Amino acid sequence: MKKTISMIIFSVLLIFSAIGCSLNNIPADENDNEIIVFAASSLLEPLNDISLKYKEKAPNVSIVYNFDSSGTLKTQIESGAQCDLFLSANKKSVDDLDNLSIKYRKDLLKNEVVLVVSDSYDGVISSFDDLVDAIAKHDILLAIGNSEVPVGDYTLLILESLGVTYQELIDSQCVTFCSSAKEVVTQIKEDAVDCAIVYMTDAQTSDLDIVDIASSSMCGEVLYPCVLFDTLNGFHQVKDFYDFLSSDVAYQIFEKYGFTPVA
Amino acid sequence: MDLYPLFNSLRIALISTSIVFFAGVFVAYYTSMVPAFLKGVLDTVFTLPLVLPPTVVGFMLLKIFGPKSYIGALFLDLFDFRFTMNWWSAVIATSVVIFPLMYRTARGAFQTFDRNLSDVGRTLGLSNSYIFWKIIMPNCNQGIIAGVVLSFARALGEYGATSMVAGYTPGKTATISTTVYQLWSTNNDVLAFKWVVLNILISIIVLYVISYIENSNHLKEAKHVSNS
Repeated sequence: MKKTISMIIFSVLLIFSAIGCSLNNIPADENDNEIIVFAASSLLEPLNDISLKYKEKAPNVSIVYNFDSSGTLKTQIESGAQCDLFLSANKKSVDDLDNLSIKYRKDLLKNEVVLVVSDSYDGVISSFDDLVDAIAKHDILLAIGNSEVPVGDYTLLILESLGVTYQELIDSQCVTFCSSAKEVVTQIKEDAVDCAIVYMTDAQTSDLDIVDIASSSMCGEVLYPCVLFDTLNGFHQVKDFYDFLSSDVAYQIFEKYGFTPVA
Repeated sequence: MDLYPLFNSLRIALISTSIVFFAGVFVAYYTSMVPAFLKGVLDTVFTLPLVLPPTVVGFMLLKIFGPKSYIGALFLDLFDFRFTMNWWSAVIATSVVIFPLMYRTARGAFQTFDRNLSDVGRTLGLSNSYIFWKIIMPNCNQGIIAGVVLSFARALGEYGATSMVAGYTPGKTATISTTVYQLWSTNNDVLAFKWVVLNILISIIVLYVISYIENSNHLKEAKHVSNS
């Protein structure tokens, strides 16, 4: 009996100390020197380079990134996640946010959506039209983002403009849906699928075989809005980084990866 | 509501459990007869998929069977056969993940088996396979059935390795778990919730049927003992 009671007391103490440990982390998050940036996964490479450059300018500021599909990030923000800046891969994920204390907003970058083919694919696909034919024949395996992933959303628009509805796509059983732009890139790089629809920037970074580029009449303009939230966190520091993203230094880095800065 | 994920999950779970039943039982049987230090090594190796996160298992499977791996590329060239991105890919992934469950319970059952019974069988001139199927297995019934139950239940709920190895193609590789994730991540909470409820119902039915079988087994054994 004594042993049971002491075990229970010990477990309770352990649990409380574990909770206590995590409570201690909250003040650190509201640290003036930390900027929390939620960014679309296609921005991973340029943003990492940019934070290195920013470190030269403001050495005691640390930038914490959360890279994921913009749809997922939007859900996280709506659920109350701490976030200072949000760089989304489409306007939808920002528009849907109901102006949750957005202080500033600007369109930062432009990108393009492309069709890529895997190394081991032995068929002939040289355009989106060829892809549509292959889907009609159920003769291809295509990886795309799901509808909440911006690149997936653009993909569905492209296919709709070519006469392939979402239901036809599902019925063809030719498509595997991925939860982020980077996951689509992984699938095509690993040759797990025959072709994929990804961003131009990801295709260039990962050295993929681009066969066609979507025009803006197919999917509209691929714009990356940047949003600054009204948080308690060291505001002037966040605004400084927000402005830095539009500086010449940052634009050079974005261009290096294939993005087009919005002037 | 497209019920393919239900059919697919059940199919994958049944096939994986069958594979793992034979594999687990045989491997456990031979491991129980091996010298002590080797037993420890084999136990560790065969229990590994249980302890590893399913995503780690999925990653390893992709490196071993993926289209760019040695084995994957070979099959792709010779037979135009893809290990990944199909419903049977999920069977491979699930079998690996649930194997330790069957293996460990079978090991435990064989460990507690009274060797005298099989020795008696040998003195009567019975073949090894007769001894295995008609003497050892019936006596280790409870352990084996427990292993099958656990394996099937786990197979039904497998997500990480399956989603990496089979992807998500509605109507071809979608399982209940990957469907719920995709529906949730595309903000289709209503449909996701329907699948969640359906999954819980199926799990309850499956577990109830299995515990019924277990209990009737107990009754049979009790009767057997009281009769002899």
